[in-house]
Amino acid sequence: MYRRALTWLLRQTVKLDVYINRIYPSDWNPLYYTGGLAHFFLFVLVLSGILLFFYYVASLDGAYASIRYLSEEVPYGFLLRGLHRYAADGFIVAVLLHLFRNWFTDRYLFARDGPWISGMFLLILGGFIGVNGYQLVWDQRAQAITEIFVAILRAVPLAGAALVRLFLGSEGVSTAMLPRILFLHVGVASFLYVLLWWHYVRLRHPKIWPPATWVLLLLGVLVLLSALPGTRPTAGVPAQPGVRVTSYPLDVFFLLPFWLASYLPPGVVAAGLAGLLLAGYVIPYLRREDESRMGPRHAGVAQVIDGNCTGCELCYYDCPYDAIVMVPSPHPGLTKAAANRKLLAVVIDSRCVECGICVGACPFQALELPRFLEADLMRRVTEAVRAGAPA
Amino acid sequence: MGSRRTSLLAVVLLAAGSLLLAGLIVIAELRDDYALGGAALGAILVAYGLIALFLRRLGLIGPRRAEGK
Amino acid sequence: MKVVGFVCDWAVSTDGLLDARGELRAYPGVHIVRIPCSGFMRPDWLEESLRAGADGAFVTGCPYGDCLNREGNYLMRDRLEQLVRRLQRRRVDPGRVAMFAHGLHEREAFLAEVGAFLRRLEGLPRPAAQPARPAVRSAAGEAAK
Repeated sequence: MYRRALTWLLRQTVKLDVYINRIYPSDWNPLYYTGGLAHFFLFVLVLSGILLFFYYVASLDGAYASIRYLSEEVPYGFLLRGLHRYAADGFIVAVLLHLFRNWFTDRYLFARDGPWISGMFLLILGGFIGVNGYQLVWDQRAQAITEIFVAILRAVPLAGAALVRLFLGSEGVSTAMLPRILFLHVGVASFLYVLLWWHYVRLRHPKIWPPATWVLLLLGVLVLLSALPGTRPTAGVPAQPGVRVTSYPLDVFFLLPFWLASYLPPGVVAAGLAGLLLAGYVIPYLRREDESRMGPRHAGVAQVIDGNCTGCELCYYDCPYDAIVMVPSPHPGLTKAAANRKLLAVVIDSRCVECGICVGACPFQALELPRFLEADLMRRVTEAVRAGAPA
Repeated sequence: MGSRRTSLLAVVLLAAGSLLLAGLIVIAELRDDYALGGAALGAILVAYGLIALFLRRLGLIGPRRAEGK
Repeated sequence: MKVVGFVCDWAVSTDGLLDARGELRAYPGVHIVRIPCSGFMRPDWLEESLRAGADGAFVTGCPYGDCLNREGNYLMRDRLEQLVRRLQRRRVDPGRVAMFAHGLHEREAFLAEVGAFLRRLEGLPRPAAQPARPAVRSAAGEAAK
């Protein structure tokens, strides 16, 4: 069931590429750069965020006024705000595309669970920081979502009250709140880069930046969205203590749980979010097919044939997952080419994804995939050629 | 080759269009109309993105040679 | 005409295109071998396929940019360029090896490209004698001259 659903989704995902590749050289296909797009949006967020920080006043009285001043009095201040807001939406969209695409195309198999797990943490932290950003404005929407946020936190068994204190600095809305949220939004956000380091650490040449066309186009769209009258972020209505907010403009990418909370009890929303996240962490450990049927996709961890390895480092440079390290050779190799080697390649099993790229890199026949041996491959080729050859 | 001509034409038109938009930014600045200036800036960036796309289709920029042949 | 095609298991789907012997129905004589990634191909294997008697050999990877391992098809493309230079030195026609890139759904484009490759092979002059010497020996022979 799971297998068939995913296979169908894979086929649909890749079908999308076919249409895009018709108008576009395939290596600039934006769907091949979903991670790079997310990173681009994050970069825009950081730059515009630093500039916004100069204007923001983190107090219940001053926050709204400072943002109003920025968007109405400062030249191009609205542009800064709009960039920050729409880049945040773009970030979440790109991250979700990245998640679904890599899920449906099996890019989490074997040793690639590390990027998946760190990616889930990035998603949670990114969503949380986004919600914080909406609280910082301290208009009526901020008031409403803070109220719902507190309700959801309180619904967490045992830790509820402590969590409210942790995130708000007091039992409810108080003067201590906005400085704390500002820290969560800015200080904790730098932790995103720690998680990104984890996300990239086993990847050689990760695609962290989209092609020029997409950088220019998306930056242009962001600027257009924040400048055009219909989509320019508005200042909203200032928050008033004691007022019960009944409606507010919804940002579907960040505030969906808050929308749900107006129909479901907060406990259910909290449990639903937790369940969704747990399911996300399990994904890389659910195999689509049982291992015996994966054929060449599961050819076994690459093995170095000690006697043939010359220590030339070619596999070390080509491995896309840093799974091969060169160690000082403990003894000379057996072949003539390997007799005077200084280094020996070693495959780190826990990092190998069984792609076989090292096998193709090695001109000395010193690497093999255990369930896809060179000898078997060549025997197949020879038999195929002999079988139909005209006598 | 027809598509090559259209791509070239698109590049020229987009470049001319963004020159006009740059003029628009100057006018907007003189009038302190920041919304107009911002919109023109965004439109220029979009136009540049499209120019990059067409140059890529012409095979003039991009990583290594184009696969499309 | 005997051709060996090494196709990445993540690239173009050949379900239903093959007969019982693993050859393409549309082009009998083109034997398909599924491999883990186009970067798995050691370029020497293409040369060895030629030496075993094949008229041509090709690799098929995913569309450039979409390799499951990010770089497999780019690496293979580079290695193939190096192989072509080696083949020229050994007086084997480099037109007999090729690299294609086709995604899961692009069967028609794949078949069309295989067809074009076959036509190109037919146009090539027959190799004089079988290049009977293994590559290592011939390289040594060149050095001795």
